[in-house]
Amino acid sequence: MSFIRGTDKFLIFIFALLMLVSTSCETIIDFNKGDIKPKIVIYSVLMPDSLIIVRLGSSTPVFEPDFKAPKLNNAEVKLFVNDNYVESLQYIGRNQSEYNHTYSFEEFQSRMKANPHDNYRVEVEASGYESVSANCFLPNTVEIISIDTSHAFYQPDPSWPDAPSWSVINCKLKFKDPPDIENYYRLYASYTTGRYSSDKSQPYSPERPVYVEKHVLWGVGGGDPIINTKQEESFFEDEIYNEYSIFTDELISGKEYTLRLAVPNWPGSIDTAYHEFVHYHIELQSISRDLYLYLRSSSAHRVKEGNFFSEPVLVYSNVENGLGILGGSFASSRDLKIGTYPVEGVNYQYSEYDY
Amino acid sequence: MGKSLFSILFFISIFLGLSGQKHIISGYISDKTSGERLIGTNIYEIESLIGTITNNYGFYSLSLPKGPVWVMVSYLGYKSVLLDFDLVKDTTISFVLEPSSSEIEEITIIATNRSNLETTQMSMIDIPVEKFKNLPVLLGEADVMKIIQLLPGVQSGTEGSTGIYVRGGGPDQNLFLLDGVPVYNASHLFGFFSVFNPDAVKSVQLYKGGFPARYGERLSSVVDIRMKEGNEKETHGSFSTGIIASKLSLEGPLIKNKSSYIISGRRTYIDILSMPFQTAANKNYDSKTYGGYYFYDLNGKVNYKFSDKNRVFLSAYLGSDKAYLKDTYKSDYSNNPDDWYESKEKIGLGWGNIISALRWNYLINNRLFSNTTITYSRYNFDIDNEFTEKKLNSNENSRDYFRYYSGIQDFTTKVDFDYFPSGSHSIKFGAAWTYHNFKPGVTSFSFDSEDIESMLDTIFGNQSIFAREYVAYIEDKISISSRISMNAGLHTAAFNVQDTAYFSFQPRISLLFMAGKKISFKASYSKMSQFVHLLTTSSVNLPTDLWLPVTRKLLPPVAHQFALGANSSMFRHFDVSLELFYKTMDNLIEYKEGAGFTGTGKGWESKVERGKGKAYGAEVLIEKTKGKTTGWLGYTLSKTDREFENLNFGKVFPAKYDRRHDVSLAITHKFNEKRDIGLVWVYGTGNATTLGYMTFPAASLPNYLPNFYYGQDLVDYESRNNFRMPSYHRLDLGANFHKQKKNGVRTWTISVYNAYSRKNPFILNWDYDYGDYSSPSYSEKKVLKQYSLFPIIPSVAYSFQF
Repeated sequence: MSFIRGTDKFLIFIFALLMLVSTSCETIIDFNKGDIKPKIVIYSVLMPDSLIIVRLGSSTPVFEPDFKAPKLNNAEVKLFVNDNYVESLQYIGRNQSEYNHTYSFEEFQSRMKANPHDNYRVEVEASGYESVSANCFLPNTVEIISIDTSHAFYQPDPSWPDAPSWSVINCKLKFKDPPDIENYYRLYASYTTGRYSSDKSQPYSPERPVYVEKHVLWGVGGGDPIINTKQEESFFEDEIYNEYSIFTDELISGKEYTLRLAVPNWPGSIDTAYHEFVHYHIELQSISRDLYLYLRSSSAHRVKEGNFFSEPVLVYSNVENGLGILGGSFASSRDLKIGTYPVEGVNYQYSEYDY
Repeated sequence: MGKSLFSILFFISIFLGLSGQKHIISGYISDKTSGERLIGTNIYEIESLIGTITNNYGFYSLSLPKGPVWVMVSYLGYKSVLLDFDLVKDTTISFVLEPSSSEIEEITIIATNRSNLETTQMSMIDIPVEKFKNLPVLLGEADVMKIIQLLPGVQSGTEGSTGIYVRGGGPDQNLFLLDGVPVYNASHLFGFFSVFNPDAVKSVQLYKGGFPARYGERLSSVVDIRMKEGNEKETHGSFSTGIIASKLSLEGPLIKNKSSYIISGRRTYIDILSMPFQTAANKNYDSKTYGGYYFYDLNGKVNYKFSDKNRVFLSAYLGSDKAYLKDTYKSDYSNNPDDWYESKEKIGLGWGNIISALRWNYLINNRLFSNTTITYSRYNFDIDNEFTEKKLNSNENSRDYFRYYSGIQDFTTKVDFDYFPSGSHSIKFGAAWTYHNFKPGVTSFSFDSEDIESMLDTIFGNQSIFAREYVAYIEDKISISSRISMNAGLHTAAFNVQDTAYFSFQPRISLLFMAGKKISFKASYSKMSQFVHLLTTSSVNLPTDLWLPVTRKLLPPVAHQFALGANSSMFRHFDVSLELFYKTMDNLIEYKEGAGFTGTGKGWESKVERGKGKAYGAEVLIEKTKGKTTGWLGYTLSKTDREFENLNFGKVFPAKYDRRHDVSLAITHKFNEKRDIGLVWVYGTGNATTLGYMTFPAASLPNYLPNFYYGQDLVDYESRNNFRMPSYHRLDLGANFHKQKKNGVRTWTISVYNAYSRKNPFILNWDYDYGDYSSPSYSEKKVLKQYSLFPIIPSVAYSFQF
């Protein structure tokens, strides 16, 4: 809209004016911060009845793009449960970062499985790095009491009657927040679709594949007041988007609450005769406070990074002397299924990536 | 605490009021040539050393033992007057002081030293208005605020701006009073100039601590600026023109010795001068774009003396900044003439203050002076954007209109009394009621079109918030013995907003101990509170800053300040003061990390965090007030921290303007009546900024991959304000050349800002070093770049006083 362009233009004009004056006075200054050592980055989310996987990476100095970080495959990763040493995690290999292939992670795995109510500590020692440690409490699950669904049409812009709308499944997810403790949540939803690859005017052929794709629903539940934490409507700013659908029990402490979320629907487009299906998976994850703070701050950080008009957002970390997060998550889930999957004898082909 | 203080004051008052047989001398002290009342003039009996100073309206009242008395009246820049007479009854004496032509008049030095040494007031600096016009400043525009920035305990904000940060306080913790009326936005041109036109200013006092009970409403400082009243003897004026602005001032009697006026205005003219260049630049383009910026302000004041006991003043200030862009575009190239159209777009950004005060001075008797005032203050910020499109071959039109505005409006009535029960004892008390109207930000949007269904007219944003503020105060200045004096008081305030009431009791006390004739020690404690917050970004100083009231969630900020000081005049020609301060601040607000300064104001409470702050330090001020060479050297050693539960993960961090060392040197030298020069040198530790120097990957875990800004790494900032920019220093030089002409004095002012063109830091960021691509050793690397605002800037100004 023109007014948005206009006001933005004006701020850009002011900023450009300042930059014009200042660009003429641009100087490179010595960066003298002593000997900067890379830090160990830990990523691990503990889940009940699952082996503990710890990924180790390294930070990189901004001013050295070709920086070669000391190797971490020889790192010693010790696991403590309730302050008792339990085991050293086993190195299982290297993983490239899924989104930025300049980074890679060394992956370590435990032999034991995590249990709720326990306190975990991970200590990492590696040559060329300062030793790091992180603590995590694995929260208990919060059960979904019920989930009700109804079909509806979603109208993205009510002020524009001719705007395209699409069919959705409205879900009401009821749960009870445990009293007397602070709880942190993430609403996670994904759906897996199977699409027959050939002409459906012909009979089903087992030779033809059914393509299977998994989609994560980012920002699901954004219409619910306790999830929609959008700070305010602004014509000037990038809004911080609650991509992980995280929330706290600040407004619902100890109470029963019904979350509202909508997932996309394809009425009539799923033909089960061709083994097509759509399976919805909805999780109410009870997450540790540290994980909540990391997810919240890292989302805001990415949106606001480089914005001259706002203070930088620091990314939360519970890793002492290092970066990253050791978090805990315990999910309660429900599945909604249209069609059957998997079915023996059907030729499934899987997408390389989740979306 | 409050009750105890009142009881003590009451009994001391009775004791001192009854002791001895005394008579009152009272009256006004004014300038001989203009009739202007002189504020803060010393008047004392030289044998007993009992004395006082004139109040803001030039009135004094002094109680002395009956019998022969020697009364000395002295004021900086004026010839002193010594009067001896036999005091047998209450007497009214009004003094007129003649401006001093001698720069080395010894007795004035003594008088000046007395003022600093013997007053209980500490952490207060009386800015010499006439002197600051001789100091060099940016673009040749003398500015009160930029002189205040040169004083110890005061940090400046962004380079060139007029913002002040006093003893670790924030930008919203300074109360700017123009003739006793609060000024909410004291800056023009995005903070580079203040709204106070020096030609209309009579006196400037800065309070950094030891606040007298009559002041309140802000935590960290009070800048009390009084406008001139106007020459009541004859008409005078001045005109000046510089690189960016011209000024005109006129003052004179309406009715000689009874009524006078002053009117002073200025306007910038870059917009007018640049218009021919913009026209030339647009000549060969279909799209024609014009932009401009200007500010203006107008000060006016009239007064009328009904009698020696009654005088009425009406003063007003009107100031505004306006920036605009206009764009027109004509499209008649399409093969289909029905598609031809003309579009126009206008964008305007404006802000300004309107301030007015009607006051009535009434001398109830020679011990009791009253001042009753009705004031109005308004600050408005407005941004609008209109886009119209018209088809050239049909009547089809469309119009988009967007407007965002915010502001604050105050109506105040107040009454103040000065009571002088005895020579060693004076009491000030008063009360005020203010009605605030906050407009935190309203956006209106309309879209008109031939197509009825597309028409839209919407207003959203916060509605006005109304609040009432009640203030009452009492302060008592007592000489307990010949060596010990005290100013104790209580400032009480109540604030009522949205069915929530806040009460604040703010005790104040200042103590003076005269250790010798040339050295004194002082101590003070003050509690301050305020009921408004300013939502502002710490990166830039823009008029989008929002004034907002305290709420149920965001409690009134409170500060406690302790200060110890010593004053000495042991060194000939020099006054030296040393002060130590310790200040705590609670209920401060800051933007949440990532929250910005723009928006509709909707849900603003959710954008801020609440926390506390602490500041402590030492300040040294060495002044030379008389002689051909005058000026001061100020040094501050200080530390300022902030602690917010939800910022920096709850850890203490340095405030943005935490500056360990701050040095200011300001010198003027007068060669003769025709030539004088000025020099300013400042040095400050670099500002704290948040700088990351490591990056790391975002969570790379199943179901936790970042969706938004996919592929973007994270920056390790370590902590908020973790990095120090390079230090700031700058030298400004200036010279004035005066010449007596037939009808007045002509002055050419030449000044150089940042004489050695120091590249001071404004912003730091990591950027690629785009060196020589053709070099075989070329490699792409990131370097830390510093952007600076002002290199060496010479300027010239012309003025004529008649």
